[in-house]
Amino acid sequence: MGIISKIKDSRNRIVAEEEKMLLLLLFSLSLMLLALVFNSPREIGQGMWIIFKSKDNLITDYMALASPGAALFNAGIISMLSLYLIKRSGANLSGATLAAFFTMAGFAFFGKNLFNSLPITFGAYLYSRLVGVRFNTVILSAFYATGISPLITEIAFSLGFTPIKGIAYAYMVGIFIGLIFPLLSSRFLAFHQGYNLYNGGFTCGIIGMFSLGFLRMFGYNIDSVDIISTEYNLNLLLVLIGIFSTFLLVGLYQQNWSFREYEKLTKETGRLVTDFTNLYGFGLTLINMAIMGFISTAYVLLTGGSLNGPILGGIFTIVGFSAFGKHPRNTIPIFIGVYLALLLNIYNPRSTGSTLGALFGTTLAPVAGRYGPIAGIVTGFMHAGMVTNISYLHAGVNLYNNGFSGGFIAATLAPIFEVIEEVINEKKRKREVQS
Amino acid sequence: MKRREREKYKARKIIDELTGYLLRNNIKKLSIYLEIEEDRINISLWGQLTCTIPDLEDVIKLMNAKRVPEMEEYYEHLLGSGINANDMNLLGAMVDEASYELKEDRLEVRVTRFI
Repeated sequence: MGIISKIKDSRNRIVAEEEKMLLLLLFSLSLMLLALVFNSPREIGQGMWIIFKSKDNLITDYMALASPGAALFNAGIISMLSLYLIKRSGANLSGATLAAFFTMAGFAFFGKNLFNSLPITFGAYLYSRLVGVRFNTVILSAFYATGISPLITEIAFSLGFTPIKGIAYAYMVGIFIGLIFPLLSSRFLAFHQGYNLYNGGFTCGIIGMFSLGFLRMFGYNIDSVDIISTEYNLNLLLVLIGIFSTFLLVGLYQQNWSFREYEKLTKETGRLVTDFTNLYGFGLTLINMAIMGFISTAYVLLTGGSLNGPILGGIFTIVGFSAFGKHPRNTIPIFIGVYLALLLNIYNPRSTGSTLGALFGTTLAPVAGRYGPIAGIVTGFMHAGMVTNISYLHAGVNLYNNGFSGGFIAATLAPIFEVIEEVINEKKRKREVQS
Repeated sequence: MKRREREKYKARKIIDELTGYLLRNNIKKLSIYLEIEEDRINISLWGQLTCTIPDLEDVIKLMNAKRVPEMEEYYEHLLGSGINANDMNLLGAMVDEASYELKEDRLEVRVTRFI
């Protein structure tokens, strides 16, 4: 692993926390203001109502379901609420928190909203009170657990209960999931040894799998959906360019207009836990987030994909995890591997589902970072097969389907690559001794 | 699990990680001291160095960096689990103070976590 290259002193840290908070606040506000560019306040209000009461399991693009304005406004509200909880709980804006924050913002374009997320977050808060730990120690669980939020909407509105009964049952389930999530998520890390960055996705996948098994056993079924927009490419591209350019400029300003140590950052494996804000400072982290945002957007456009809610979610999640493990060197091999599989398999490589498989497939970036680009390409290829096959288990109520798949891929491939690496190293050692 | 018990568990994980780190760096005759007080956990590990540890200074610096409570509950089970990999980033997020002393080939690493 790459050991620390730069530790800021405590005074710098406090300043950086305020600057980070301000930047995230501006990001959240800009999402809300951008909503007004696309739709009128009235249309946004109507769209939000549709978002609250509609099914939102995979893949439900809020831009197609409601309107682009409503989707952006929803993402802005979820971002603001997340920021409020971070501030209120006293959590640091570390790489881990930045990753969780952008994951919250991203998935608010396709599946998360206040109605279906709040009970889960409240459950995690209850857990912290019951166990007697501060809420800031479970804030990541409180955020990541909302990956299962479509289950809440399903129980509330789609299983045939009266609205009051439905909402009551749904909220009880949501609070229960929030309560157990912190216990499960940290233990599941041992399964993939930190090589699957979206550990929350693996945990939500297991919970989703149990939930669907239970519901199906009693005759309730949930179907996957496919509501996707394709007509906002140019507008959304401009939004993304604006956001990532701002990140790049702020990062460069904080780094005294240099990319110093960036090459070193890209040599980190990215395995959990690799907090770039701690290792390289916030400026360089922000530069990496911007670069990864541009690369992810380029991947979507170069492979013929469309920019829409879910794709924005994928890109923002990558941007967030670029503060916590991802960089060009460990993600591009995954992109190549997934795309190669898409060229050879039966699925349309341009479809939103396929593009999401590549974007979120970078959950496996640490495998490429640790074992090299060829291992990364093989991993991406395998992931493309797994991710398309596994969503039946939870019927799309787990929004982090790639994190679920990634857990199995990492747990299977990492030990194999470990042995291969040991054999190669042993042969090298023998050759050196002989010569 | 009660808070006190959780702290004992964290102490075990911290020792696991530090032990792994020192063993990977070929330390011999390793001894461990653990003290759990009301307000802090003190851990010391000492042993015989067989070669220099190139990143020791960096690891100590990392452990003196600010605590990151939000990582604790979520990632603590990773600590000490890596066979060929370190989790020093995580260790740094979970301890408050660290120092080391090197006298000839005897290395002692001291770590404190405030409760």
